[in-house]
Amino acid sequence: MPASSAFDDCVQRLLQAFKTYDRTVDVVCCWEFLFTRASPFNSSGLFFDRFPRMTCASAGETAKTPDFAVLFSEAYGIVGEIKEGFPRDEKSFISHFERLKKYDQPLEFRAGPGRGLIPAVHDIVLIVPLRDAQEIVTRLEARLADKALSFERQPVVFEWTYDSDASEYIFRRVALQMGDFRDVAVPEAIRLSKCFSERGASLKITPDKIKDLKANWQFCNDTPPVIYTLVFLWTKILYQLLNDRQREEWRRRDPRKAIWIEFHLDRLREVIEQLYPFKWGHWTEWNRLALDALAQGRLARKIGQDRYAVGYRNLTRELGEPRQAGRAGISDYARTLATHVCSQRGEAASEPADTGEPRQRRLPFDQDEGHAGPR
Amino acid sequence: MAKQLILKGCEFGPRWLETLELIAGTRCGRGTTKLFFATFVSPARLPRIRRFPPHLSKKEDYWVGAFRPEIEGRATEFPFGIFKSGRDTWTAFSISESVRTEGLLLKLLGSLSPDFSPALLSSQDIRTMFESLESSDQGEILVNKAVAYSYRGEGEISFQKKPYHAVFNRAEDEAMFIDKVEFTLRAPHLLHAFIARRGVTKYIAGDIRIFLDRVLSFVSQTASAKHELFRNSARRPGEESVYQVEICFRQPVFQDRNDNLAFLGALDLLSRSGMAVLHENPYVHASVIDFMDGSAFDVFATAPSAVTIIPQVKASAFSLNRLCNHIFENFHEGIITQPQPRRWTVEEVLA
Repeated sequence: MPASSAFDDCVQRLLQAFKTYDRTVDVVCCWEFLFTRASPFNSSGLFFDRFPRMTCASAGETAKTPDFAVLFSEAYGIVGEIKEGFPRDEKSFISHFERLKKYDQPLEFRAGPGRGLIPAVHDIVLIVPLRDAQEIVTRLEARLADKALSFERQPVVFEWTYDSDASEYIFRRVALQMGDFRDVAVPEAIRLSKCFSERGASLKITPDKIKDLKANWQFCNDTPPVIYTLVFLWTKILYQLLNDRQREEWRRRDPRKAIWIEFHLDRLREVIEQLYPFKWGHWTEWNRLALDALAQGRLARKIGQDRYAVGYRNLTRELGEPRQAGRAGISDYARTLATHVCSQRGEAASEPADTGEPRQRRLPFDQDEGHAGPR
Repeated sequence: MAKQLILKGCEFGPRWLETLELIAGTRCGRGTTKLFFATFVSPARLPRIRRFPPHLSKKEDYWVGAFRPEIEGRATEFPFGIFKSGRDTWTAFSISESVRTEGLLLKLLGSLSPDFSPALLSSQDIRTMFESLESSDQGEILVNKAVAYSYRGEGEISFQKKPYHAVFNRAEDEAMFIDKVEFTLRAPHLLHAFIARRGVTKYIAGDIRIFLDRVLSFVSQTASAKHELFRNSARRPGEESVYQVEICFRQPVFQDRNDNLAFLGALDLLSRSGMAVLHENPYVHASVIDFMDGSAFDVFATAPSAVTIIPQVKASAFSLNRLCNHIFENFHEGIITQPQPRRWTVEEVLA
């Protein structure tokens, strides 16, 4: 494969992971909207947990982290898991479903700040894209029938799609499945079996409804791809690490010129948790992954155990940055960061560590893109 | 060489209103002498204003200072005054005979951003000022000269001698925004003045009280109201809630992907800022950082006729004002509102 193709593939792969994660954030927001904003769900006393960390009765088991969890009452709860798809290979298909069995046991749900509760009954909701949903259900039912798979709590499979004409996300329970909500203990008005199974209703959410949830939480419970974390750090966090003198400097001069910020991951985590009240406990790991990638892209240096120096600046479109169809001339940090990360892959071993400031480099693969100009 | 009437300190009387009336009565209305005003927003209290460079000296109800730029090799002194013109708004004034000296005062004020930011007006704001002036004074307003620009900087139109509504209607029809207007109010009062988007006004001739009460105070009140809305919109550190600011457009402006790209392209033009596109189509979600002061915003286009801006932690009113004005000048102008929380029922989302 020619070098340019490997580079483009690398950028595309990173951006695809970014896009997929963003879509998962949207999907979680849609369900959060139903449970926390729509009456009567929002006044029923249920607790929607966006970043669940669920313990189970079995000793030694690690905490479970589904995409969301909803505790309706002491009697009932649901665990939500979002998947992009399942493998075609039968063995892998079964093994992927086996992974869902970690939720097929009594789990402690969050019932509010600092409070946990194991409901008498809970169900597993599996949310998959429309394109494969029916096939997944058919195969799941077949494997359950021939006992290749068995669940005490059979997943209730939902399909989702985005309807461009109506501009809305649509979720509905996939037909021809045995899995259903066992929520008889829940008041009828908020019984999911009533809404989705008996009535056959679909959940329809326009992006307009979820924008504040998305801007509020930014993330979902999965580990974000490095570019997603980097975009968050670059647009919302790193500036907060500048001192007054550095900020003043940027007011006066070109913010494309890097200012080096040195920090420990603990400091970064503290700043994030002080400013943004979400997803406690994972920031050190998420930031380490992201900053290691940034160091690979030579926009940062690792200067000690969990210590980094970041050459923070206003990123502009790089020479050689792969173009995106129809987006000529529009700068996008996600793409620029991916370009930096990928530009050094495969070269790191043969090149000495970079000790200078981040540079605007001319990448060897694409010669026809001009600089975005002064900003 | 730029001409500038040099006022001595004694000509700045103890109170700003009397000073302006005196200058208007003795200096303006003849030749090219004007009173130049720049209104800007700052929550700064008195101690901060006292540190305003260059040093300001206190009069009874305002401050005076002077800047001394070198013009053609000679240091020339330009005195100016500053008074509090409204809640969180201040107005600087000087006597001017050329746009060059006006530019010097604006440059001085601009160097103090983001602590001081210009009172940015939209075409609709300026039109509202004219409507209010027309209804309260029962006079005819004639535009002597106006300049309008297209949203993407592709062209400009100058208007001459037209009723103001004809000027604004045409600009709107041709997808342009009004940048500046020199106008005359006729009978029963006479006023010859100028107003521009960046909070700049000029008194040229006529009734100074009408100018101060109807034009300058309008600019100040509009800037105050916007600042109040923006100031309360930043996300509080550690809080699990965000506040939305919405720009509502008169007509649908997001019909397809090209419109989304046009909007992203416009955002990308904001100077000293960076942007990450989280979602480009079918709806827009961009994360924007303003390197002027580190303000961060999530910007959404999820409806055909609106853009939503969600300021993140420590986002400043100054930066939000700058962003809204940038969208107005580079995409479309709209009305800025703070949407009220809505109640939803399950029937609206389950069908």
